[in-house]
Amino acid sequence: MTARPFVRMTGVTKQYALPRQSLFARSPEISAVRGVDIAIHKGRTFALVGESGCGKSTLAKLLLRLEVPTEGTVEIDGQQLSGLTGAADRRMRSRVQVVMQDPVAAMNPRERVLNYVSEPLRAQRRLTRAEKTELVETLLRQVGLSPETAQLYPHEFSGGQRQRLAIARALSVSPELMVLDEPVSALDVSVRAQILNLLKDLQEARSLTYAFISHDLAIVEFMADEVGVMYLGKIVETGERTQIFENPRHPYTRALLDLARSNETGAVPQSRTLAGAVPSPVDIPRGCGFAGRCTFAVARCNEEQPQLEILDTTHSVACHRHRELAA
Amino acid sequence: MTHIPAAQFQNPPVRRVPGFLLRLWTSYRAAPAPLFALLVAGIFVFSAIFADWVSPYPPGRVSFLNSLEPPAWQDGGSIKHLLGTDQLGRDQLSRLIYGAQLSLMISAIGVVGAGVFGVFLGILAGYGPSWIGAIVMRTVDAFLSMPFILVVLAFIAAVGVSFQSIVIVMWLTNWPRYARLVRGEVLKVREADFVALARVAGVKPWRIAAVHILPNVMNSVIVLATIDVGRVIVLEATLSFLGLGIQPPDTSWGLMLADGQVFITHAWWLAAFPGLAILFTVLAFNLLGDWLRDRLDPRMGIN
Amino acid sequence: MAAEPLLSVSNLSVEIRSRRGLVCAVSDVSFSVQPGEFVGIAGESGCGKSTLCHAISRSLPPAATLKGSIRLDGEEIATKSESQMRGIRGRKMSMILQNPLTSLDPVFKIGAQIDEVLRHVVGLSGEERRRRMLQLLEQVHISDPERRARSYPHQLSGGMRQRVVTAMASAPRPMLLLADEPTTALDVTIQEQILGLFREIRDLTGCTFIIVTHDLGIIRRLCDRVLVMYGGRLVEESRAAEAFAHPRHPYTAALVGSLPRIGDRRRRLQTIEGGTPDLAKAIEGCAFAPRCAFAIERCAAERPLLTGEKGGRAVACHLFDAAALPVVAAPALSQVRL
Repeated sequence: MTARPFVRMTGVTKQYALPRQSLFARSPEISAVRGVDIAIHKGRTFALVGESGCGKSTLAKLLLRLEVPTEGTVEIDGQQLSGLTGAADRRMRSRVQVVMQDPVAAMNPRERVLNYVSEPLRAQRRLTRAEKTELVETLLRQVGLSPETAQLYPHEFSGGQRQRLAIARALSVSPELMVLDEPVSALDVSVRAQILNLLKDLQEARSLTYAFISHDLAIVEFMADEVGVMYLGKIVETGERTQIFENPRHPYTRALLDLARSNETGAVPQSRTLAGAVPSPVDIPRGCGFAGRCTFAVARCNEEQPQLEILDTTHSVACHRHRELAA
Repeated sequence: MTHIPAAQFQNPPVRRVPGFLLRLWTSYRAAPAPLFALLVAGIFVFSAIFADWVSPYPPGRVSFLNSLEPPAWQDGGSIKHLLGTDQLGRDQLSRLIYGAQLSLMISAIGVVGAGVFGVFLGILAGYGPSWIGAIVMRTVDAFLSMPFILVVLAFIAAVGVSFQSIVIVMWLTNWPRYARLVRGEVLKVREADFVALARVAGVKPWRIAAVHILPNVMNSVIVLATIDVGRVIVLEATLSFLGLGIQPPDTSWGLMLADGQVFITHAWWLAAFPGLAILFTVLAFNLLGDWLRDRLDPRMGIN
Repeated sequence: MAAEPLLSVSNLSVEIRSRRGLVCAVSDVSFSVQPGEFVGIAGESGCGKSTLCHAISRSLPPAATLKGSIRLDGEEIATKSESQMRGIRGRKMSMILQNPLTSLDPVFKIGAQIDEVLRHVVGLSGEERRRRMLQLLEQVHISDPERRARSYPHQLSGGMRQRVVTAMASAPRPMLLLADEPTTALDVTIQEQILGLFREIRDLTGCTFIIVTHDLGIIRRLCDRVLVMYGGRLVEESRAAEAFAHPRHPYTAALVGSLPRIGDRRRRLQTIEGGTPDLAKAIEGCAFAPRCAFAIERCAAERPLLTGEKGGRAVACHLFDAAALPVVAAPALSQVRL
């Protein structure tokens, strides 16, 4: 783990301006991501877990350069993403690809599969018709679809098939990093397993690096090598998969795990049921973002923001009381 | 990557996606309304193009002996003038046929010109830099808030009456509605995931606009354009009525309608037939528009 | 299980006329629900679970035709007219839908919307309504109900909206609450809050719940019994814990096997190949046969019937016919179980 990480985010913050309430007021700001550091090594899967609004999708957009960070830097293979232009910019686009959550919204209803799948490569260089057809047919085979489907329009495909198409499209430029933003949560249960297996096989065959975003801990455990748990724009705990799943230290991680386990055992999650909801990102609490819902919160939690504390070379947690709770 | 046998997964049935013309034809047999519409529009366009052959008389032939003859099926009507004659004894049918020439040409050029210009600016306003959007939309607001007649009067007074100035008036008064409609649609489409995906892939903005945005806003544009065909014919009628449009001896449906009004109490046919011609044209184009919109959408397969 | 069932559905079928022809969304479904039970209806999209739910509440679209019998509290409701149904909906059963934002009217304050239910369905007088409205909001754990009653739906979070919807649905103290994917739009921690709320309402009012969901975890956590649907038919009926620990129908087994689990060290998940059947086409035999790893010739030709004890375990699969069971099914399926 001493090699330079393939993806490195340092002190990344992203704020969005909301519409002004009155002419003279300052426009309020939403802090979607607040000072996040992440390192992902080549060929590994880093999973971001958290509830809606925790900032995990914003991080995905920053990696994909759909957004620019307000502060901090995002580096891929040592290259800073902001300020890439021309040929360097184009090259980087082919190294990072994405599969999004909603398999319907991801496809232009008026575009045939042939064009959908080949679009990223066509943005890189000109393809002849024959090249395009050959490329698409090969890719379709790789994701388990028959090559003849290249001529069809999106509405002919089911959700799972569309997600295969999205994967084929992403693969067209032979990327190194794939951002997988909840790739199976819109799919039927029986289809999820197919897609997850496919993603694992592809990773192995092409030594891909995955940034995997999900709210489902069971899926994360299946997919991830490393996990970052996010809450209110911050990473509250991060570590190797086994560290997070076998030795969770943050009360939020524990609560999520407890809930995920109850899906299987049917047991009502007892003491750790979380009350209330995530605070608004417009009005972020001074202390720990989780304090308001935490059963272990003490006065200090409301006053002082906990910083990520290194427990182990790979395992860190941001909680004032993790030591006492571990006992 | 050979360990996933393709046959293992269920693929959607591959049927040959029919070409555009075949799609037109099959859907055509399924629904009769468009058949009617196409027939009506076809007759009008045909007679406009081939007016010199179709028309029984030259449109300007005056014959005071036969003035104000009623249509053939009424008392006093004659088979020589199927739809009757006007106060100068000119044949109504011939004048309708020649009128179709100008009316349809003005609406075609007027709608297409305004549409192209409006769609272009609408996409620019919705997908381009925000300052361009602001300028375009304020201009649209300004155009839409100006009293139409006043603008037209001023414009025609400045450049004079001619076919060209009528067409330019149509463009000036109609493009803002396209621009506003398209911008609204673009703002929706640009948030779609497939646009984000294209950006991630590094597709150039103008290409995203052409490939992903334009096709997805065309539905609403086609609907608006078909409604506008009728609108433009009526606008031209208004102009002609005010004496600012088509000048005699040329004729258009609008001008005929305007002239016929004076005689409405004792020669109803003078206003009624151009009125009906406008009505059927508008109806036909609206039906065609609905149908075309459905046909252009690949999701509406053939059943 | 000897008590009179609260709801008993027999031979219920729903056909929907669509552009693609007649779709048999629900075919020949029979089951019964005891008072106070939590029953889950599980299945993937297009299996007919939502249609079944709407059939029971008689809120099917006009293009749908319903056949069979639905007896609620001893009363046949499948043949009731719309005006007769109005007296039953609300009072005897209510419904909670997936999206709490569209279930609430955006232009009215939530207090007024609950008040509406109390006035028209329950028929309380002015002062009493207000008291009851605040009590209901408190019951669903909305803090500061006085203030919240004056909020509009968009001012509340998704979880809070679902609480309000639950309060409205339970206001007339219905005997049966139908919930169609009630937690699907919510975050995991909020989901648990809503499930807890359902449990509380059951304990408080003795209300019976039918939960329709694709999320097997929700069923595992909340339900006593589960009905698994596939291709518009019931394929398995059993106690919820049992269905997960020892699924019988190959479909249930495959579904459970395809879920990643906490602490699971498999490198690959078990998959069900192919996709769900097209209900616009007539299906001969078992609808799951083309995807089933254990299918035998008979499966494609002959439709298996749901057999087993009534109200207990029942499976619609030829492998579980008395003769075939010990030979084929037992060893084969044991490999599937986790």
